[in-house]
Amino acid sequence: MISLIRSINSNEDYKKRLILFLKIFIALISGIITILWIILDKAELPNQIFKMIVGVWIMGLALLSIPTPRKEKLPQIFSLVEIIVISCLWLFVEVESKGVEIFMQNGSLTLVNGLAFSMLLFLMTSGFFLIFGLADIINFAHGAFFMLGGFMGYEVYLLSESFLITIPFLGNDPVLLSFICFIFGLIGATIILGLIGIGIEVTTIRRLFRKPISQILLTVGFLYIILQLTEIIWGPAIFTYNYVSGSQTGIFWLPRSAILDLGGGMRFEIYRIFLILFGLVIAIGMFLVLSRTRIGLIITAGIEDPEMVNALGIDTKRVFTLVFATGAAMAGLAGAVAVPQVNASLDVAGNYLIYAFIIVVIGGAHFGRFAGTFWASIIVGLSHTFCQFFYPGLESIILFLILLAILTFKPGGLTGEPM
Amino acid sequence: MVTHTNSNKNKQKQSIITKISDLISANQVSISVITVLYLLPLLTNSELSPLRGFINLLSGFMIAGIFALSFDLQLGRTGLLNFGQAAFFGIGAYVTVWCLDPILPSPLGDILNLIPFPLTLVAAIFAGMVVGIVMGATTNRMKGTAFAFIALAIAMLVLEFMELKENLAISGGESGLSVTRPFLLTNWIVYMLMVLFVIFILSLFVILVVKDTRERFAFLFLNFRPRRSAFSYSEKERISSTRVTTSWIIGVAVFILLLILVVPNILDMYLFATDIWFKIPILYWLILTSVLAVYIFVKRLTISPFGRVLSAIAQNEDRVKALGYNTFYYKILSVTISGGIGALAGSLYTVNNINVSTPETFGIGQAINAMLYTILGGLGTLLGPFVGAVLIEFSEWRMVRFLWTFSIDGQWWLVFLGIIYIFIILFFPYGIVGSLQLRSRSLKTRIREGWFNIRETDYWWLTLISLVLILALMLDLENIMKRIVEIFEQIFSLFP
Repeated sequence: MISLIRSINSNEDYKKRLILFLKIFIALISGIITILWIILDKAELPNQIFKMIVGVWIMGLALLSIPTPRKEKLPQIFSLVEIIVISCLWLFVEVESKGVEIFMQNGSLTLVNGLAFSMLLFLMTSGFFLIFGLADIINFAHGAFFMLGGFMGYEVYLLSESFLITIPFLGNDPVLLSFICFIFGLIGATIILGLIGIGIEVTTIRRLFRKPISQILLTVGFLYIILQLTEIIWGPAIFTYNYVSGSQTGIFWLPRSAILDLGGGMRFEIYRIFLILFGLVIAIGMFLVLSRTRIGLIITAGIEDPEMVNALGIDTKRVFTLVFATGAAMAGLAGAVAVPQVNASLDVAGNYLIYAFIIVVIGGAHFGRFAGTFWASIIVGLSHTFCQFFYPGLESIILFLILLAILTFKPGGLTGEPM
Repeated sequence: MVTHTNSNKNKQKQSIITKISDLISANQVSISVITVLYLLPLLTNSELSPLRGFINLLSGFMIAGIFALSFDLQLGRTGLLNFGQAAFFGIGAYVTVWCLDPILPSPLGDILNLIPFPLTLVAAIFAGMVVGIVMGATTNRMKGTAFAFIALAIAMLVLEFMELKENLAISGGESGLSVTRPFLLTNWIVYMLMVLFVIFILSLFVILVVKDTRERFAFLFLNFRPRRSAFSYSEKERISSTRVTTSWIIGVAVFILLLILVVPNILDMYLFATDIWFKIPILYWLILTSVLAVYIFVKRLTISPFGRVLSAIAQNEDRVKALGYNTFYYKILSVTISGGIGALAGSLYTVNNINVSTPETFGIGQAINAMLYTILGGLGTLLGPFVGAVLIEFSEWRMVRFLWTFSIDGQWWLVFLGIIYIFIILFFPYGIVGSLQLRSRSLKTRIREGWFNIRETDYWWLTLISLVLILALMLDLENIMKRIVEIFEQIFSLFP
């Protein structure tokens, strides 16, 4: 084994040929197995084998993203054709078994749900990406920020309602009152989490600048503190806007049953569409800030090469305070927006932290671009929702399969520097 | 010719004896620590006592320490941040389950059931090494975060595989599987064998005491000699210079004194104990022995050329490549060895806990724990992971009661734990042991010359006393804290 590896390392030409051969081999095998699976019908095979095949299929998908010189385009083209064929076959099987209408209904519903989920993920992860890119900190407290944002938004909502209800024209219109209070809640959660972020950065994280391993322990400490304080203050209860417990009017501006009916069985929840639009607006705003303003350009440059930015006379430490506060504030905003959808509870912290990890690594962590995070969150959100709908039980495994496949062939992530 | 060979043999014999005595005098501190740790279970008899529970707790801490050490072998030595460490732990734990229980179905069928108990640890180590090879071979080209997350993905894949509905019979799901306890763990013969081993270690300790007293109190012995400085005569001269018998009388007296402490307990265990009473001491000794084995192995590994290459990779991989080393191969081996040690920790966890479930062993919490232990104790220090593990596990266990003594509500425990982590890492940025090692030289000279005039030979008994004090403090922390609080209250009540 070792001698084989050595011989491969010594002989570059042989290595290239071997890799080319391996690529074609993987693509071929995965294609054959998948086509066999579709022909044989998935019910015949046990569930485990089916899941392994999906894994192989994703390996084939990952072949697409290999950066290779022109001579070696063959496996990429091969796997692209194969993926298109397999997707067509899958569509054909689904449509045949369930009928066109039902397929269209399910597909569009999951598309909207998935996009809403991925926008939520993007809102949360953008801050994580900025913090990670600029200062190399794996912020374990980010999920806790997200969770705290939900609770803060809820509290500010109740507080502003108790103030605004005394104004006569708002007091008579509970729907408008609720909407204004919700906006106040979003702003309040953003500001409070931003302030918490500044506090944490100035008091502790700044002292351990450029010591990423020590900072893991620091952020885990903050994760524990925030989790336990939340449990002490609000208890293990789950907050939703369906039933606002401390509210005086008891009406939320958008009930859960608010649905946009496009006809043909395509019915979408309005809040999800609102989430998609909201996420897109914020994303465009952040893109503009990062690409047009001076501070945004400094941050972008700092993510790509912090030493060079330092050499140009800019204090990245000071910029980082702003970035950490922004990251925490974005997490808070995402948490507050998510509450009508996800509910505010303690479990959210851990789950969403893992999503943030996966998205940032897929998008390209070191030297990555902001667009990478956006596309990665769309990939993760869509694949998660589609699997939840079409193949329940697979949704937790598929994210790690995608992560494994993409990182195996592009270690730097989608936009990161190839190693 | 004959005389020549005879003298050669004599030389060899002498050299072995001097080697042993050299070994003892070189490792005074570690021998005294080992003796105290091995002696602990002999201080309990066949009744319920707080010490028995404490020993059980200590064995849990030591398992955590082994796991942390396996993590440190990657992060501290090779510079690989591995978030998937829980995979090794879980594999070790589940292979042990499958080996020990003949009723439960296992993925390899009945072959695993043929392995007798102590060898199951070896089987678990092999399984962990296989997972390590797979993980290392897929991640060898990555650095930093990419490595961490690929490892995490592999660990999560294993976790998800175990949690599938079809695999519930193998994994037991969230409620977990319960194992029948191995016969050897509840057997009085094994207990007695271990007692013999402990007595052997005690005798080593007694030799240490004898050597030390002979040097220290030379004037007490019959052939009085003026004390010279340590550099003026050699070890052989020193041995021949004092008469052996007198010092040995002292040694035997110490030995008998220790035995008097211990023998009634052993007799009590032999006469009155049922099988279950033997479990905790035997397990404690088993775990302690494996801790020592792993510790010595890792220590030898880091000193060896292989370990040097690993730490060179951690510092600058490109330069190591340029020197002609195949870093690829070294990284895989590092992950593999660490996988074996992690699986050993998981296997001991199964034997200790009896009940094993997937979220507890394969879950991400286990990997985060290993990371916390290592970073808190100090990266790349052999002792650090153990210190971190004991500190964190102990504070998790005792924090609630500790807060009660200050009349603080128990649910604040995690908040205080987080605050403690933050303060420790702010004041010891390289971990407790790591930061102390950085300053140890100035501390040592200060202690030696400025404060107490302590010599190298005094370290062992100082360590002995401080270890006993620490153990006593851990055993009965909140009573001691209560006393202190009461004393303070009395003092404050004096001033109205």
